[in-house]
Amino acid sequence: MDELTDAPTEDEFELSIFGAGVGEALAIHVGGGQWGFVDSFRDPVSSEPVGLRYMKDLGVSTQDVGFILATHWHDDHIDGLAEMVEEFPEAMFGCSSAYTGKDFTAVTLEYPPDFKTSGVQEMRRCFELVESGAKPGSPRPTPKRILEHQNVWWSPDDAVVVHALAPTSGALSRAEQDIINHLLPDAQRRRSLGRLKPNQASIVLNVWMPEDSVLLGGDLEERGSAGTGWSGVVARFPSSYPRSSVFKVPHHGSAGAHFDGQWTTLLYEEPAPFAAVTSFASSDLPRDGDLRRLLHLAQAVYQCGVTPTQPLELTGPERRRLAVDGIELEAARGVGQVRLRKKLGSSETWQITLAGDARQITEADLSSPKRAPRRRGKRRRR
Amino acid sequence: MTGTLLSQQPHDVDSELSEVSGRAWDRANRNARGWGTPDSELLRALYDVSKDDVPTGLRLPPDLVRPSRSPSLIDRYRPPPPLPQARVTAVQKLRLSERQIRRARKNRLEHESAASRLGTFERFQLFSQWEGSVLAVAERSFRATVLLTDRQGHRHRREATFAARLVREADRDLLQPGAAFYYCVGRFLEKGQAVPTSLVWFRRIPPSGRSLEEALARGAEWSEHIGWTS
Repeated sequence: MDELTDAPTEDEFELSIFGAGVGEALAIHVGGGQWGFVDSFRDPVSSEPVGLRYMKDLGVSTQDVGFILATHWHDDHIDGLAEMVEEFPEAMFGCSSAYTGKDFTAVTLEYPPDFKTSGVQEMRRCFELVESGAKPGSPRPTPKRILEHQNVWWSPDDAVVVHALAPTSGALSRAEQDIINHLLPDAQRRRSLGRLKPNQASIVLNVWMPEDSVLLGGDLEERGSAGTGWSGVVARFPSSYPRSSVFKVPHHGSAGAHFDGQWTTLLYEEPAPFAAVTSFASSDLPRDGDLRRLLHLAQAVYQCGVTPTQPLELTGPERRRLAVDGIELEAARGVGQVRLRKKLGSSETWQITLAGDARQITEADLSSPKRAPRRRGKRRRR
Repeated sequence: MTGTLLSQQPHDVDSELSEVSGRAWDRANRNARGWGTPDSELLRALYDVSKDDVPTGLRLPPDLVRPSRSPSLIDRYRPPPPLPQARVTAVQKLRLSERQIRRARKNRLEHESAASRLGTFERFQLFSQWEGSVLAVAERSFRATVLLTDRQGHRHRREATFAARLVREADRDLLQPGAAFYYCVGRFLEKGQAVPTSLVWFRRIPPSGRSLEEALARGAEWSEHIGWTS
């Protein structure tokens, strides 16, 4: 990835959105040299958490990271988060209230400790690290459980505030019930964590700054049930809250995460906001239809993690075994970065820079929409 | 000649053979001299890549040989040597082109996998094991993140598409996004015979012996110790 290594000035706000084929991470400079992170994933080539590498590239000291948040525990959002928590000992750790109760903690304790690919294990490692925050004399702030309408973090001069819009209380009760069901000593229920749906309890954040705001959608989806999903967020959004000019599109731009109220209530309608979306190659997200919808609603749309770049490094026998078993390994996608900057308190527009595997979406990039099949009629007799 | 004929033919050989390319078949026929040669491995792979249905005493059936193209093959054919103990997996000796592998894989999609016979063998010997996490599920396949370990012991995270038939029937309901699994490569041992195979094994939360109340009490204690604040 081509690195962006010029650090923002003290009076600049920065939102950097990183994405690859699988993975999403956000880095936020709130001004005054202070940084925060939302989610994490590892570079497919170097296996280093991308947020950590970005901080090294910019020369940010470990004391200048104020918060690390986990929107939910899906692998593509949490991989490498524990390493970041360990690396930044003075950062406050926060996660959705759904995962701070005794039920989810019990799940993490019951889960096999040797499983490396599980998001639950990553959460457990984070919990173990932040446990030290409860000890007297520890530099780490106490960890925070995040619920709607809560100020999660604010800069020393109170100029920038990170505010949570979700999880809503309705979503929390559903998520907790799922987790409890999972713990029941019924073989059918306790078999696999795949039954849990962490997206429903995902964190959604507003970052307020003087004269502007950005909306970070996490992976929250719209399920159509009252009090949960995006309809719950929009219904409980006070009219006094500022609207946002930048939207980190939720759940990789999927149609299931779209809700009209996002665009009419939470975001500026005029001028239209900037939208940034990360890919999720497994489900082929975002699809062309999703990007077309975003293009229609936003001023400009940016996407991270577009093209496969890294070749596979397998030995011959391994390659054959995989082929014989019908397993198709895919080349790792490159990491893309969309960086948005603006002076705090200014009414200027955002300065947007792309690096690595990121692009601005235009109509020309999208395939033409499928036409409805022509109805075969009776051939006219001449 | 009849003494060397196939006594236990794999099922539906003819239909499989019809899908094998003529060139691969001719090449295999020309060089078939029993087990141990790369091309007999190719034959075995093309017959049934899953290997669980293939008897180790597989011999070349005469009705599958094209007499006009290789009349001397049957005359030259000798009984196969015993399976060498040193051979770990047949796969290590496979020398297949990408095209042959694609063919074999296509044929194999219709076969019952070894995973469905899990438990009917005496022993399963594990050679390598990769972790994975399901990302998305389709009708006949699923996509997952896998953690590969190379020969130097380095781990590489990759995305992969797996055929759904690698999952045993009993585990089908576990095949959901987020589910964690192991991809195991090894061999089944039964009556002195080794059958190389691989399977997808879903990781469950092991039965801890704790009741719900005990598990929650344990979770509450740790949660309180972490010291969450609002």
